[in-house]
Amino acid sequence: MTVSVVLVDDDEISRYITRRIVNVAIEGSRYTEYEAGDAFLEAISDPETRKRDIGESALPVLVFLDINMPRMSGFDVLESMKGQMEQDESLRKGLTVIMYSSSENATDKENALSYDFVRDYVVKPLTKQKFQDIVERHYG
Amino acid sequence: MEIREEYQIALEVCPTPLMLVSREGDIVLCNHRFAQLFGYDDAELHGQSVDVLVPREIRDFHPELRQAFFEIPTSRSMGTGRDLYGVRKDGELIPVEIGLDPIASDEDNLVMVAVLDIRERKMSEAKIRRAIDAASSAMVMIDEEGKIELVNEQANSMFGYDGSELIGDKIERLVPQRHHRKHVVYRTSYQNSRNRRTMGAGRDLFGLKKDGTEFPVEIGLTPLDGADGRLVMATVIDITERKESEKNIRLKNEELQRLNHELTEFAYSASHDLKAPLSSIYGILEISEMDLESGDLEEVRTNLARARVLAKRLSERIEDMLALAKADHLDDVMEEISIPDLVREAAQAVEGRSRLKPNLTTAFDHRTPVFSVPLRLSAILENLLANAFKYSDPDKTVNRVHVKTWDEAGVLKLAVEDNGIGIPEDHLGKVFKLFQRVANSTEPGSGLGLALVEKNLTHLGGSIDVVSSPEGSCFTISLPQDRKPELAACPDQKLEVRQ
Repeated sequence: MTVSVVLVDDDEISRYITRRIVNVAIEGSRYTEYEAGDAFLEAISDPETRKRDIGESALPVLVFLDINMPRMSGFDVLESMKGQMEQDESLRKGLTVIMYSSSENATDKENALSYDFVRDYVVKPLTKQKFQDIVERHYG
Repeated sequence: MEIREEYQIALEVCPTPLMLVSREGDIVLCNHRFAQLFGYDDAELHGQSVDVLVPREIRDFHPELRQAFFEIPTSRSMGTGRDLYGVRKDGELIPVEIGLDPIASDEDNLVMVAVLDIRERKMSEAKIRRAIDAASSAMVMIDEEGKIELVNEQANSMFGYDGSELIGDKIERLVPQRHHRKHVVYRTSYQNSRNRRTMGAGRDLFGLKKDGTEFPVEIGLTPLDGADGRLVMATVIDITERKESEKNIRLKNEELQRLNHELTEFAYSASHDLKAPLSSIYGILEISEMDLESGDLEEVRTNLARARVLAKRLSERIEDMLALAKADHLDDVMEEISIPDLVREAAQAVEGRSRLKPNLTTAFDHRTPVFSVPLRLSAILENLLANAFKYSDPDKTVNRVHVKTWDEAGVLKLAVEDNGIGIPEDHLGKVFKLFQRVANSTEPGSGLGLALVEKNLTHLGGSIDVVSSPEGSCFTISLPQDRKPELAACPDQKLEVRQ
């Protein structure tokens, strides 16, 4: 099974951990990372860039979106994506957004899941077991 | 003579003190009760002028009034609206009510005078009056037309009037001008319901003082129906103080809500900022275990170093939070301090921790002595210097930090200037808030440094200003100094910490 994962996170160590876990958990996964929300938004706004960077797969891409980022928070990213997600059906079907945060804050969780394209809320750190569960949950 | 005897018998039977007076003002007859009321023997008054019973002040024009009565004789009471008094034989004045009835007779014109002793009534009226004056709330009684019939002392002093100044005036005199028209409508419609209730439920009511000032009031209305018409008693309470304390409570409440909100924000940011490095450490350790199994020792070594950095960052963050919490509970003992010494110590502490080492120069040009709380000022200087060091601009050939001091109208000024990366303009307003990090830098930090600076400055009665551009930032603190003129000595020695 080819799983495509995108991570949007400003924290270098968090990116390292996620990258390693994804690669170990499911062999042959495709993994792309962005250090900031605007870079990610730019990538998905253009079909060409999206295809080149994230690739195309039969299954939706799992987008892990960090909440606490400087300049543009995860919530800002969700707000910016909203319009695009509503208009573009291929995008809506192609992306499964998972909020990714180190704190299990009830308000954050509620806010995140209020977006219909946000399917999950995962607390860091990502572990092998957690990742496999997520894949199972969304593709199983 | 016959007539007189008949009258005499009739008068004695009547329970009211009575006398018959001739047109000339002579007392023709009086009954026993009458003589007794005025302290005379039964027949003593016969033939005497009625004026012996009239108070001295009235005596001069009383004959004229009597004359007028005989010209148009009708049954009526004497002196409507005035307080009447009779003079007893011993000179005592007694309050009376007098009824006059002309008696048609062939021989001469007579008038039957009935005198009511109203001493008791007057006394109980006075008692009621004293009771009304003793009431803690102001009372104003009005008649059906809204005319003031009675005010108690509290009402007078509450509205700034004296004695009977208000009696007979419209009640609207005590109501602010802008409410006059409405008030007349309210007052008139109240006459239809006449129930006991408070005035203006849900509205804010104001009273108008004689000097034109307004004050908030609460008013209770009680209808009083009596012989004198459909009266209304209004009890007025000045609620200025209550409004004031309500306002205080509201402000305190808002303050509490704000603090509570801040606390929630603090808890949110703290939990995130403390948990983030910890969860990273956890993740790295899991990966290290995998790498150990697969024998990738090089990766394990790198990851342990990463974990160590994270653990250190976490511990610094906790230190900062504790410092911030402690900043509220320091003993604020002012003592004489040396700015150059404190700057030197702070610089040494910061240099020891900092990865980047810009050139630090100083120029002290303030007057001594300086009084402050050393712990607080140290914390301020360390944080300002740490920021200046941390946000050095790698794109600039020389990184500089300059500390300078001067005096400005009794206020000690200290500026920490750098040529670092600067703070984006839209961030300047937020830098003193908890957990705010400069957006254009990836340097690690707790986001607590400047919050700590500000808190300590607040405790010192000082303030801080910041200007920033891509050329660098300058933080200037102001510390008010309570200087005695004779202590305004020479400037502190100039000292270069490092070149």
